[in-house]
Amino acid sequence: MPDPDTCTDVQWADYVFNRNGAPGIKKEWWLHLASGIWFVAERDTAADEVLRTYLYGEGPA
Amino acid sequence: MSARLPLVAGEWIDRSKKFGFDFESERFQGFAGDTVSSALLAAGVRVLGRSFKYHRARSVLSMANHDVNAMFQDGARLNLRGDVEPLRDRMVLAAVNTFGGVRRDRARIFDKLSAVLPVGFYYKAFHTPKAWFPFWERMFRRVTGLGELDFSTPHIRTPKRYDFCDVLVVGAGPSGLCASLAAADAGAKVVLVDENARIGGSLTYQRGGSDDPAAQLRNLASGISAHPNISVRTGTLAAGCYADNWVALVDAERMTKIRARAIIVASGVCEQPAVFHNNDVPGVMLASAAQRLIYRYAVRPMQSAVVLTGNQDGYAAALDLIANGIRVEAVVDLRRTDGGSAEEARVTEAGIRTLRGHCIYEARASGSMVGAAVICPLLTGGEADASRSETVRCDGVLMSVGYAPAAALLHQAGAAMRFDVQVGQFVPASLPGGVFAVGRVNGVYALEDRQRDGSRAGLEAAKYLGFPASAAPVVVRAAVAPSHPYPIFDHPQAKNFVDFDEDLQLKDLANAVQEGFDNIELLKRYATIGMGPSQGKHSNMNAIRVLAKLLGTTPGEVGTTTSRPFFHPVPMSHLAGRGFAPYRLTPLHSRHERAGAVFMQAGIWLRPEFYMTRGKTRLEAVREEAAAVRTGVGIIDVGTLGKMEISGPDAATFLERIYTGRFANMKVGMTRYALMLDDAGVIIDDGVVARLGEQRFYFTTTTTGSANVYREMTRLNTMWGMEVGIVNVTGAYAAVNLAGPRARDPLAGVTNLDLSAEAFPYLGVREAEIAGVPARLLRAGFVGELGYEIHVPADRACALWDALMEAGGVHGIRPFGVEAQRLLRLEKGHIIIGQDTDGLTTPLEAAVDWAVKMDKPYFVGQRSLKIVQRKNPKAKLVGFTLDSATEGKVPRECHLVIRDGKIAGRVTSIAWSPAMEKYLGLAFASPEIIANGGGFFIRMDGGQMVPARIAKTPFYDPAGDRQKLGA
Repeated sequence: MPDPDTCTDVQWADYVFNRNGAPGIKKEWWLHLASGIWFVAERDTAADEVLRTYLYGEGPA
Repeated sequence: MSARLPLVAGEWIDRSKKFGFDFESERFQGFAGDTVSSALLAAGVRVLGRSFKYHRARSVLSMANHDVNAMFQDGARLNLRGDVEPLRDRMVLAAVNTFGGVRRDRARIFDKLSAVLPVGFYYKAFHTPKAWFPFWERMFRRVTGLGELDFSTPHIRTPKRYDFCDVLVVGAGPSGLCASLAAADAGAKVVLVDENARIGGSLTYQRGGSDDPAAQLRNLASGISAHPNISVRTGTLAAGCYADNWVALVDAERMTKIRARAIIVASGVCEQPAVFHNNDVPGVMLASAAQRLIYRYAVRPMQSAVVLTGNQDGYAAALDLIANGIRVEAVVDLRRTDGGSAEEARVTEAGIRTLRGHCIYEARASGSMVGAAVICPLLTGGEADASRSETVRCDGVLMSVGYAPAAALLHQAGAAMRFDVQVGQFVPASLPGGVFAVGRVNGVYALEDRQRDGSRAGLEAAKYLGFPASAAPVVVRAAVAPSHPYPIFDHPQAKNFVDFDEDLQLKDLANAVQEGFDNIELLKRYATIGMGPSQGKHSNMNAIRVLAKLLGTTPGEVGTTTSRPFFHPVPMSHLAGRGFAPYRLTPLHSRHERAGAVFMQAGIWLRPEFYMTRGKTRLEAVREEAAAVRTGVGIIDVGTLGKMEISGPDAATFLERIYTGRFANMKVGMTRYALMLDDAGVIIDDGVVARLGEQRFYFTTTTTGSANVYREMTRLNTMWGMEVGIVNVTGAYAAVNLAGPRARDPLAGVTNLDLSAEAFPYLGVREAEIAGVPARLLRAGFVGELGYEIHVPADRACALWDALMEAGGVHGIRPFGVEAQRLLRLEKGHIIIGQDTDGLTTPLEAAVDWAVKMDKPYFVGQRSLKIVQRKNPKAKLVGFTLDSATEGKVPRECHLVIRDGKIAGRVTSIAWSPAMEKYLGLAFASPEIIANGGGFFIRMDGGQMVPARIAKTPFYDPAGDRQKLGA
């Protein structure tokens, strides 16, 4: 998320509305429903392959 | 005349079980194990169906589950494929798609009209004049389509099955059998499926007049049946492959969803027809169809045959015919030289005339059957030399010119295919992990090579799964192409069919390409090639060849069309299965039932819409319930509201970030309306936040929103990392709203809580015992009267309800439903999220900006609202009234608001208000309406315009004195 206090309207609108659905490597939010744990999955949507998963904030920089 | 052969070794029919059946009002007899087509052919019926477009006589083509011109109806079961549909006793059959029966189909006139029905004609011909379109539509609906749907067919409930295995082997031919054995020997649990009634694949019918294949099959089959690790499922089609090796297995009864750790595709090939004039006349068939008829069903396909071939398999088929007493007039070989195979030598030995470098240029019909083949030598370019033709009488023509891999599952699994010129077909170029291809679908043709390829893949699959196994990954593909590069011959009279499903001739493809549809996907859609019921199994490869030739390129360059699941049509009943729509009941459900509630769905809940009273209409009941709340006291179950608790040092700050309002300054013991937006500033939920302690809040969400709101809050806090705990207690608490000017009276009798306005003011929250039940009470005003929303543990809900009903008896307490509540809140002008707002509504448009505190540092949606604020809203939610004189039909929700003849908004809520004695509602209205006196029209369904006028909300009790009641 861009900083809402400093970003321009265009930057903000881009964050809110524009999603790139083209096949490729996507960062996704996943929820393990049983434990209520959210984690991040990097998935190649072209190959439907999960590349790696990690907890928010613990991923690669 | 019967065409049944004497006992054939290995036949699939059981001659001891005779089945009688009707076909178009004639009585016939067949055997158990017959298919519909084999039984009809055996009984001497040779025309089995009519083609889709021209209604030409058709018969058997493949006997391999793509004879779509021999489809039948048996009562409510329609479009049965005669080539594979098992014959059953007392079937009453008719060919589909005929007008007056298969023999005298009146629609055969279309065959004569074919010259004026060129490819794509219906895309072009029926657009103008527009007024005629309904006429054309009716005509096309009448003349197209296959079986006739019986709308009184009973609903068939089809269970689904779920299964797992280590290795799924698709296809029980020689390569699939060897693959299964190898994988199972290595320790893997194997499921082997085959669409045929028995295992064996080509070993059961491609015999070359020899007994060896049958002996080999017996050998392999005994190994399979004795193996504890192999489960064999015949009559089962692997119809589609999805992510993570999830394969749909379809049999006669059901669909089984199997998850395989590895898949071995041994699905073989589909034999392909040659394209020549009249190649569709009954009696012309694929060589493998004749072989299947002979060896599986003991049916003599013809008396005397001409065999067209482009490979050694045509010679093998000729030997099979001879071995079963059928005369072979000639073998016509598209190749110019002897292929050097043993089969060719044996055909020569048998003294059969062989014409090399020749083709069949046309088939001549005699009656509705083939009567002769016209044979021409080939020119150097591969075209027929029609000037030097010879006519050979016969009553059957076999086509053995090549194959297309049955690679649909491989495509769906993610395999890349390439065209192998040496093999003359597409073969896998790369396969995803855990997916293997063996046998002819892999371009491996010699029988020994196929068996070795099967064992190789079985071991590789086992190794992939971690079983101790190793295999030399050697694949020996066909050295001489079994498929002819271009078995397609032009003819001035056309009727040389490329696609038998859709009656597409060679010239149709040429015309489509000339019109610019020169990509295989475009050609497919425009010409509809491969789009019929057989899904291109016999037509796609030839279409690719034709397109490649027209474009001067190669089949590899043209490529294949996308192969989507299902690979084969699957009955709707198999897919539909059982309906499964779970819903939730509130803890008070039994009390509502007892009180005569009529239930409605609200999100996933069942809620009382209203309570039925004897002798009263729905409307009367709703108005009486509303009147009880306005004048006495009513009670409504509001337990479906989402209910959450949040606690921790950051609880107030967290709420301020997810809701638009301010909560940090709220006193303990008070409640406040809360509005939730998404990042775009659109309203997504609302509720009430109650402060139970400095660091403890209890709050509600909408009925439909609770799960989503809770989930999104946990996600946001994963990022924000604030010190709060959030618990979703929606199911743990029940809740009722006790509302009305006399609401205090029944409550006072069952609690010690001081209910005075000073001790428990409007918008207050208190915790107390009610009739011995620990409860949270919120003074709410949703319906615009003195009201107590009482939340109690779910298991005590009935005790609370019963106590309140008993205490309220003398005060005339009455339960009210969702419909009365909607009316009451509308009189107060309170919005319902999702009814009075939609997926684009901001607080500015919904006129709830009073609940938005823009001066907070941050809340979800704030940044977007800052942008929205600077723009002029397109519409604003306003209250309106109709003249009370309005009679007859009244507008309904979603009717359009019209001003100056233009759409200027829509109605979101409307109802007759007994309290105000007029129709009132909420609507989105344009700024022009608001700025110009507030008058507008509502256009109803029939187009009538009803005048309406903006009115201030709340309509009822504008000052809110009643809900505050002295507080």
